[in-house]
Amino acid sequence: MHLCETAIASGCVSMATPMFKQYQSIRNTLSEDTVLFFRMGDFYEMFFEDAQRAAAILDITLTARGGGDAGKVSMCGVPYHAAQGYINRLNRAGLKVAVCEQVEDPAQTKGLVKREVVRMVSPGTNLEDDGEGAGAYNYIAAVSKHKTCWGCAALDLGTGNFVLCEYDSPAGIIDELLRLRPSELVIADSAEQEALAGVLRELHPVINEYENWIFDPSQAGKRLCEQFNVQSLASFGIESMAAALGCAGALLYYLQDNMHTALDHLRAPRALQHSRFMQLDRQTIRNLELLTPSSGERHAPTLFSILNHTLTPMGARLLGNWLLRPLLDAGEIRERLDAIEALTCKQETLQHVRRLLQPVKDLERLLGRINCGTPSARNLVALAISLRSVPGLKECAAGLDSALIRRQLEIMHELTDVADLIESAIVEQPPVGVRDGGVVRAGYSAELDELRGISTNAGLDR
Amino acid sequence: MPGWIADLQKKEAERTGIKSLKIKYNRVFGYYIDVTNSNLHLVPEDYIRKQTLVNSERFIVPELKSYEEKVLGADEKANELELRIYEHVRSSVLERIAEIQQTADAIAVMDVLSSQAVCALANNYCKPEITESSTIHIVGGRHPVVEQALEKGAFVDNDVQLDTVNNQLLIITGPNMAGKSTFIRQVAHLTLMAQMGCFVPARMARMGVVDRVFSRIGAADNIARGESTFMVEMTETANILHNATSRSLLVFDEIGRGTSTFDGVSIAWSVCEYLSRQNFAPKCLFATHYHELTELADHRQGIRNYTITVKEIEDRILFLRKVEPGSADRSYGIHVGKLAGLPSEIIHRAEEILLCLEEEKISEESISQILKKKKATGSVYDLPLFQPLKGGNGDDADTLVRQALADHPVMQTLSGLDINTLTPLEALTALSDLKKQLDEEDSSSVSDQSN
Repeated sequence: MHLCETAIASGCVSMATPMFKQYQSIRNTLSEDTVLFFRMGDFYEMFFEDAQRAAAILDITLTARGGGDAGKVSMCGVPYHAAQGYINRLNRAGLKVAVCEQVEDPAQTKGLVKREVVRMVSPGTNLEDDGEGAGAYNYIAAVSKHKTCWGCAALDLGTGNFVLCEYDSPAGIIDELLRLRPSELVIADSAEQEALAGVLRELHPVINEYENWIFDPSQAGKRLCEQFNVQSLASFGIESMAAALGCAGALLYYLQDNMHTALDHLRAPRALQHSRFMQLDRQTIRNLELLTPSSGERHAPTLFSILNHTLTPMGARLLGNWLLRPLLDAGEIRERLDAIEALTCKQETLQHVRRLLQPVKDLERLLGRINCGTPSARNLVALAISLRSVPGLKECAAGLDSALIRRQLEIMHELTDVADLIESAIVEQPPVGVRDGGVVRAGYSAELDELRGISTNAGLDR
Repeated sequence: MPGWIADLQKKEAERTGIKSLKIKYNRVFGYYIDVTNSNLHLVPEDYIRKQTLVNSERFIVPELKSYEEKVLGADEKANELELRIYEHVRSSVLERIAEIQQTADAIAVMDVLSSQAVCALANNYCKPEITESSTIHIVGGRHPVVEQALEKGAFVDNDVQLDTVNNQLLIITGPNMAGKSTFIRQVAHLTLMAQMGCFVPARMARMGVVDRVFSRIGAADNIARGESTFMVEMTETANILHNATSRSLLVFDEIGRGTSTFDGVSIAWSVCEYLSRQNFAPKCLFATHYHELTELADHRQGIRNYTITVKEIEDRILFLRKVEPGSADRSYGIHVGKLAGLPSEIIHRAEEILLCLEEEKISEESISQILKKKKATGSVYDLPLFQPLKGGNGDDADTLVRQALADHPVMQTLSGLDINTLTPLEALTALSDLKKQLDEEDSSSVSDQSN
């Protein structure tokens, strides 16, 4: 596509070196909004227009390299061990990154090393970026029209949150998208996009166009049953939402298509019930400056920033949900108010609860990373630290007079055995990676201790 | 020297009787036994010679080599084992995903609840009483965001009573900058906060649950997208009117502002009428600078007038920011212009013009009177409102004068101006144009006379 044009313009297509031929054949399989990280030795290199736009975004030096007889091509690169930071920045700029590795050992290969794209990282599938968005969901949404109904499914890969909704007009979908604020959208390439043009301009998500058939509700039903290992979707209460199910299936398809296959942490899709929550339209969300200041000053206070005293990212996300979905049932509202009152009346307990929440990390995202992120024992340690707060929370909040709080305490699992296992097996401050040792605590495995003993024992004379 | 190697060295020294026997290591040969030349005759048969140096020879034995392999492989094996252990722990954790997720949910709820408790205590919020009625009654309500920007206690709190019968649509007039927008947003904010289950910034709040909150506020920011401000305003208003129910809360700020005064006041008037019909009476707050709308309260039971108080001290105005029943007698637009730093020459001239306009009593007949008249003659509520009808009672001298005045180009230009939306520069230009028009008129009439 754009690469070909550049290549033809610079006259290097026919005379390209074998390496560039390989590069080009891989690049041609990728979409326009993807940057190809092409592994060469200890660097990921980018070429042609990829190099030009990446150099501008990443603020790295753009150089040139001989592309065969035809002269120079633009190029820039990042060291492989620091790649994640650069990937995050490209994702934040709305670009996807295809990570292409050498899949053969160069030492054992004659000629050109075989290379393959092994990982696709997009704004919605990047689980390693701890940047600004920790307190918010990072949804990939799919939208499609089925008969007269507009369906939407949204999935936060980091936390596994999966929601469905349906509306009888595009207006409802538009407002919903403004509440969900997806960073990516999976959508058919036709009428849907036109109907959503305004909101797409406002949110500018990465658009993933697919053909209509991947939104087919019956295929989607099968795909969902497989994913969640159930016979029927009735148990989730979503079996009749054809349009939204089609979208949910499209999301699963999109993830598979982009090599995201470890999805055990996905939660069962749940319907956003219109009857339970107040529908806030986009004008009101904007006019009342609930989440973002209307003045355009990024750090001007909003209702959310005033109300947000949460200590965990899960809490911050839930508060955002409460704010954008006020309740309609007086009883349910009173339950929350009673719980808050119970806490304001017992300030010592409140302070204690807050102290216990302080060390709790983003449990939901940790699970996502442990399941399908870059392997790192740090995620396990963070999980254990977080779980250690649970018994204390259960104990100190038990005296609060609130049905809502009591229900929370009931569904809290202490998981002491999990925390024990992690703490007995993993050192307190493990290295980032898991391949070069230093992860497991001494005393956990006799075999490991012996192996380590040998190498340290032998050390002196070496 | 660590255990095993030291032990072997000792053992071999004893076995061979070579006291100076050493086990050493280098990168090329790995571990080896070093025997000085003087002791070579003591070397046993099982020693395998690897290298001869000037002063010594180097040997290995199978036992030493197998140990060496163990050592060199140990690092690699250790790393592999660590990876296996990591995977074991990881998969043990993943078996418990559902429990961990449930726990995360519960922690999130506890976090939000305690966050809201802390927020309520820190900012002196109160617990709203949630009712099944359709009444909203707030005493001492404050704007949660605006109050944070002020010193503690500096925000002037306000009461509000809204229901579907006697206090259904509140028309709020008052000078620009007095706080109309803040007040109406504040009511919307408190309603949302109450329904999300949070304490609210007020001394007392009794909140009947609303099904939706709609708002039409401010000049839309879509100009950049090529949509007309007024079109956006009207689209949003239409959307609200289509979707609101009797249980909704509607908040309107300066409806009809984006068009000419006559159009604007007419639309605002009819929207208010529509919103206060019987059987469809959502709770509404309607902030406006059209004083004409305050007359509606005389005609509809549910419509009430409120104004935000200001105090005039000499020629300055003081915003008291208290919402009280009644209506503002003037808009203080010129005062605001002064506050904004318009040159005093312009302010003086504007005051003169205002005085002129008021004396001429352009709007001598109130809208309601005109409407009544029209009704009496069987017409519908059509417009124009102020302008005397052409071809009407032609013999009425007063009407003729007013018609002449209304047809005057200066008057037409003036009525097309919206002081509230003018920038100082635009105001200056507009004034200069007016002056020019008047001068032209004068000179042309002079030349007419001379003919």
